[in-house]
Amino acid sequence: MSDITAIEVKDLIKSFSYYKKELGLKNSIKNLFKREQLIKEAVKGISFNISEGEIVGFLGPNGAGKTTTLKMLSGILFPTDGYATVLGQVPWERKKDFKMNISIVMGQKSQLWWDLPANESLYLNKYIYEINDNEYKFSLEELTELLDVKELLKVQVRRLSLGERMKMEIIAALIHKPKVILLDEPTIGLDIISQKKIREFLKFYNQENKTTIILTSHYMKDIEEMCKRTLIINEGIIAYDGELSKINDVFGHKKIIKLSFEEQIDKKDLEKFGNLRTFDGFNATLEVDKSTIRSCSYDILNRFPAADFNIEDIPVEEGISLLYKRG
Amino acid sequence: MNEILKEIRKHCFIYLLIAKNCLIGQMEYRFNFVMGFFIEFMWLFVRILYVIVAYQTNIVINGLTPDAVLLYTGTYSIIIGVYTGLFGHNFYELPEHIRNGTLDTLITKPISLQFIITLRNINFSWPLSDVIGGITMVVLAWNRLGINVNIINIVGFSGLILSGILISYSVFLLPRIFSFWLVKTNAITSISEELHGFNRMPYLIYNKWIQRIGIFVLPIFLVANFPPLFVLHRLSYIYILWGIVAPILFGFIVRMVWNAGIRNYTSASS
Amino acid sequence: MSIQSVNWVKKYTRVFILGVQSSMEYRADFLLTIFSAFVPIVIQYFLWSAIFNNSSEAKVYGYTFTQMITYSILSGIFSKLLATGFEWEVASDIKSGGLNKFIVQPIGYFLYRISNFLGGKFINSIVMMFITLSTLVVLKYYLRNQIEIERIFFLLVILFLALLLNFLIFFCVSTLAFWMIEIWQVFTILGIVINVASGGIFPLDIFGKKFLRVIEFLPFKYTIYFPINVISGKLNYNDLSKGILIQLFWVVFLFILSNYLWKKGMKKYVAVGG
Repeated sequence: MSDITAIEVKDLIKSFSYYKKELGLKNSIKNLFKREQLIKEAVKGISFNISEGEIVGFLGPNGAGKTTTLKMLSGILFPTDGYATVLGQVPWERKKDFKMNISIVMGQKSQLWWDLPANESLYLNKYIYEINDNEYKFSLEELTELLDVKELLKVQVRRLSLGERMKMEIIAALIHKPKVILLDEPTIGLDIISQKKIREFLKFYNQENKTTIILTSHYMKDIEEMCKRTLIINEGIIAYDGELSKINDVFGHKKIIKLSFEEQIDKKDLEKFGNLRTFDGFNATLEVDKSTIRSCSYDILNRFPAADFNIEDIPVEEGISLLYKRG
Repeated sequence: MNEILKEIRKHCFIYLLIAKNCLIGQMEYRFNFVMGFFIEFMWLFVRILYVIVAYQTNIVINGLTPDAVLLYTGTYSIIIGVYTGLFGHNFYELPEHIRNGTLDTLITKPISLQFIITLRNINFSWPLSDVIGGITMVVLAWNRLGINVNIINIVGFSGLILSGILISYSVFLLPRIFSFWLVKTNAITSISEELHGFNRMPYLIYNKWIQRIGIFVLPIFLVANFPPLFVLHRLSYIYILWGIVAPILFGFIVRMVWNAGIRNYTSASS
Repeated sequence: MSIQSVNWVKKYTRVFILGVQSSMEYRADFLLTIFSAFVPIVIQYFLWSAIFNNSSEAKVYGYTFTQMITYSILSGIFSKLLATGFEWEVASDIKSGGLNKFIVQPIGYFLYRISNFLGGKFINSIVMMFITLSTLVVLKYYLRNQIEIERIFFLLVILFLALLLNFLIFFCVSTLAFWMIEIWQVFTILGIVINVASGGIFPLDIFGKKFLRVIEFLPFKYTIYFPINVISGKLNYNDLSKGILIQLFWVVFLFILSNYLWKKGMKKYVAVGG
């Protein structure tokens, strides 16, 4: 990873206007003449920098503004306000130079020709991106080898499985060796094996080619495995920027103690130690401050007939959902 | 300049590739191919109904005989055949592309968006009946009217047909571009479909005002009226000049509206 | 009335109202649809003007000039008034498994469709009838047409039957989607054929006596050709009442046919598993 900035985003804002719709016949007639316009802020002023060769994940619930941000970075959308550069260019100016060096893959939108074998679509991209014959041959060879779809190139796209089609989409997006790749939900709807394969491929591709990659997902697994750095976006703002595994640092220093006992225990006795999350007489989960963990453990083991004892971090999923709620 | 030439070469080559892809794609579905032929055949039939009425009633339109109506309908059929083959399906799909965001991936490509959106589908079966039927009618009427087969007539006739094809691109694309601003476009679609209807008869049938609007403002009469009038020596020099200038002018207008639409799309869609 | 039948009425009234609502959802579209009816009228007006100007006869195809103009105007309006479109929705329900919803829920597909269709036509019809009436008044007093305005009451009944008839025709057509993989081309072709055979483009008289005798045995002319000739005064009361009876016959016949076709289609749909 170098320190050259590939993507710079500052105070980016995007709002949409839409019409209010009320139920009922009367309102339908009313709407015929006058409609109330409402404004929704999808992205509310986000800023971040991404260095060349970085692989960054956007995590967030549906409608958080992930896709909108990606669309602005690829030049599909104009922002309402704010500033961004990708490879030193303003995306929404849509200069040819910019387009030649980026690529976007949208999980739910295909760029392949449905009725044709995938290689025909790829061949079209060769001309669109002005790739010379040798380079094209070499890239195609390499990509199909890596993704293991060499035999499928001549199969009509509509006959491919969802996973195979996504691999073809990715090849179509990488054939011109873009410097920046934006992936919107690349694993959506795929089975676990295909998901894994695509993750591994992207990770490998990033390391080999030093390509800057941003991907969005609402599968935590995607991001956890691929991205060192994660931006959690919720309701249009960045709620977290950093390593996913360290997300719990945000929430003070809590640990979880899981206990099982040989005989039934009184609930009250345990509650003194911290926040009791679950309890059924024989098993308990206890949330304890990190600073007191030693003394707590000592006391508990001394006072109760413990059969099993475990100290764990708060799970990452839980940290994320706490973040969502906080936003 | 060199850059521009290079771009034009690139786009031409891509267009050829697209044509090849479309042909391969359509060969996969032979039933659709045959049915497409029949659909356009039905429209041809409706147009011929008007010719039949013209002959049965022995109509005279401002000096034009039923044979001239036949010549006109033939010309119109050829042009509309080419239109449906090269542009029709793309224009039809434009609102769909806007609504479900197919445009998104295409915007990011280093290629003209208007080019790829409005020309990416070529249909090979629809134009068949129109073009074959149209040429038959033109040849038939040409003979019956005793029009000279000379260089001037042939060059003028085919040149104005080309102008008509270019005009049809602008005239029929324009209403579709408004789907960048409106959610539902059924009515716009049906109006532009109805506009086709105005061309079922030579424009001289309408009153002066409709004629002027249809020639100079919203140039639907430029689609097919000039070629037959030219060979019938009913076209003044000013109109011939207009037949050359108009496709360029309206091409520019469509380009401007298109750009405005794209700007609106990218600032309003989600 | 039992509670069951009250609920039954309520259910389909709701669907009807939904149809009304969705027809009003898009105001620009609503007005433009009405406008688009006038384009063919303009073309036909100039066409017939040219023909009559040049003709030595007072009647062409058995129509006077004003009758022909009346025909052109009303065929433009009625074509829009009767136009369907639900057949595409039916086909997509059949193709993409939308029917499953109707198999699971206590709602009949046919009744759902017809309530929705009539609801969608409701406002449109009122506006169109208003336009028709004003056109007739103008034609009567301005062009001195032999229109008997009293017949407007018959026209209301006849048009309602024509609306049902057109619904049933296209409902039958839409069931083709059970058996054919690619359906839209068939819809388009049949749409044109049915429109021509209904007299939606030209009065059927242009096809000659022989053709008229054949078309007599088909339901299509009772959607556009017949209603117009009732009001334009080309038909006497005898033909009028006979026509209504034939309309009724076709409504009943096509109702039975469409239900039969639907049942057959459903059997196939369920067997294949949607």
